[in-house]
Parts: sequence; structure tokens; C-alpha cells
Amino acid sequence: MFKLTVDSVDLEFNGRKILQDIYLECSTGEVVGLLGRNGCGKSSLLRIIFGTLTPVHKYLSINKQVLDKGYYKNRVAYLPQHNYLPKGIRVSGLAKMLVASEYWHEFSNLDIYLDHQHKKTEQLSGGELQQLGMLMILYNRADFVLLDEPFTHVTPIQADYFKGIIKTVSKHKGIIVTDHQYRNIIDVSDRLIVIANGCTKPVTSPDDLVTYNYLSGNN
Amino acid sequence: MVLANNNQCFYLLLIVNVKYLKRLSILSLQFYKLLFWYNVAFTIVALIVLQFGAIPINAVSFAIAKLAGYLIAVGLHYYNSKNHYFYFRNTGYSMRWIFIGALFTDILVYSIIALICLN
Repeated sequence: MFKLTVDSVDLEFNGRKILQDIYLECSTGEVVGLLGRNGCGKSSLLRIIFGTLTPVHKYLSINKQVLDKGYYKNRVAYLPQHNYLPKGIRVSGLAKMLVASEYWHEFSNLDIYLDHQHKKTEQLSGGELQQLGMLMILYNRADFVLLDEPFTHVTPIQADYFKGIIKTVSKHKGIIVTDHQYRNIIDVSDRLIVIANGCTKPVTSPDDLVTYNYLSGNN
Repeated sequence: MVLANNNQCFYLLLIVNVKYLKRLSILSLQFYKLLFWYNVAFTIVALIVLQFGAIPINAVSFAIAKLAGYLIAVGLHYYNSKNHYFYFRNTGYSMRWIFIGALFTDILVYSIIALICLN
């Protein structure tokens, strides 16, 4: 079992403190839901863990082995908010680079892959791209997966399908997921954390979401 | 016994490195494909600029034009399609290695073209 630890993250933009007292743990076998208001630094925190955003200070480790960037040697995979699959390359060519060999049989038998494997990414619709992009990240060889708004612009049926796959894949991986569709996050997560005033707060009851000003109390 | 273990370690390392390099070369080719038309266009522009500057086109000036064309192509691609870098990073490689791999491919392609032209 692996444990990802993020601690003492300090992030500023133009002198404004965004993140200042962050502590987050995620073990393989669990889904951690990350909630917070717009601009509170959820996506920034995921990008800091992945290694594409450099904060003033951070501590990042897997099983106490310090990492500089999460993506090095495929320890952490990250699904960004917008399409990340390059144009002009066939879906099969991209999938072979991203999907782990142990998941290849399962992935290559998915309907969406069978239907589109010979197409180039520009021949796919936005929804198909999002679905394929997300599946390639979930079936990646990384031990930890960060999902940034996976349920945005997704139909309820697709959201349910994604939640099923997240739960299945999380048996072997640690997953940190954030989205504004908090009901989907609550459904899929084993544990919830809210970012409020730049700090991470564990959520132990639904009332905590009101206490930390994430929900208004009328929901 | 120790020697046998050393040999096993050596072959294991070799297999790991061959796999690493094979994946890196595929990713470099994919990145090179994305840059290709930018690269060709800016290399031609750089050669034209050199000629207007009355600099004779030889191996050195061509290499400078080639490098400038490649760097401008990478810069423009970065400006337009930065989000695609997440794909390459999600494979576990840093962009620095992808850039180097694509530059190596570029040098190889232009060397082959130069050799064909010279013959």
C-alpha cells in the first residue's frame, strides 16, 4: 500500500495567499473528495501535487520518499479541466502510451475505445474526448490519480458510469477528485476535505460543509 | 553467485532502459509530428532571413537556421497548445526529455535530407 502525503503548501499569487496551511493524505484504495468555493485553490493544489505549479513551499512524498514532481516516473496522473489529448494523433497511439499494461485488456474492450480507436482526436466530439481522456487517466500506470472537475459537462448517466469506474479503479489506486457537482463527489468519495481560507479541513458530517461556508444551509 | 546476481541486475537494468528509451522515442515522434509544419515553415523563414542578411548558406548557418526554426516552433506550440503537455507528462516523462528527443529527431530528419540532396 502507498500513501501520498502533501504538507506545508504555501502558494501566493501577486502577494495574495491562496494556500497556506495544507495537509492532505491519500492512500491507495481510497477516494478523497476535495471541495471548496471558486478560487479557493483546489485546482492549484492538484497542479502542485502533479508538479506543474511551483508554490513558495511544499512537502510532497509517497511512503515518506520525497518527490519533486508527482508526474516523474508515473507516480501521479492528472486529469485537467480541459482536453489534454493532442490533435493529429490516433486514439490508439495515445492510449498505448497512457494505459498501463495490466489494464490494457479491460480498457481496449470498452465500447468507446473500440468505436474510436482508429480515429484522430479532432474527429471526436467534446464529450467523447472527455470520456476517453478520463478513462486513459484512470487506467494509467500511476498509483495516484488526480481528477479536476471530471463531472462538469457530463450527463447524469455518464456521471454514474464514471463513478462506477472510479470506485473500481480505486481498489488499487489512490484518487483525489474535485468538482463543483458536490453530490457526485459525496457519492464517490470515501472521505471529504474542504479548502476554506487557504486551509484543508476534514469533513466529518454534512453540517461541516455549512460551517466552512461551502453550502448555504438551505441545501 | 554474486556474479550471477550482477548479470541479472545488468540485464534487468538493460530491459528497463530499452523500454524507457522506446517509449521516449515514440513520444518524441508524436511531439515532432505536432510541431512538423511550424518547424518546416520557421526553418524556411530563418533561411530566407539569413540570405537577406547576405550570410552564405553553409553547414553552420543552416544548423543555426534549423535550431532557430525548431525553437520558434516549440515556442509557438507552447503558446497555442500548452494543455497538450499534460498528455506527455501523464506518461511519466518531463517535457525537457520530449523536447530533446524531438530535436534529435529533427536533426536526424534534416541530416538524411541533406545527405540525399548532396548525393
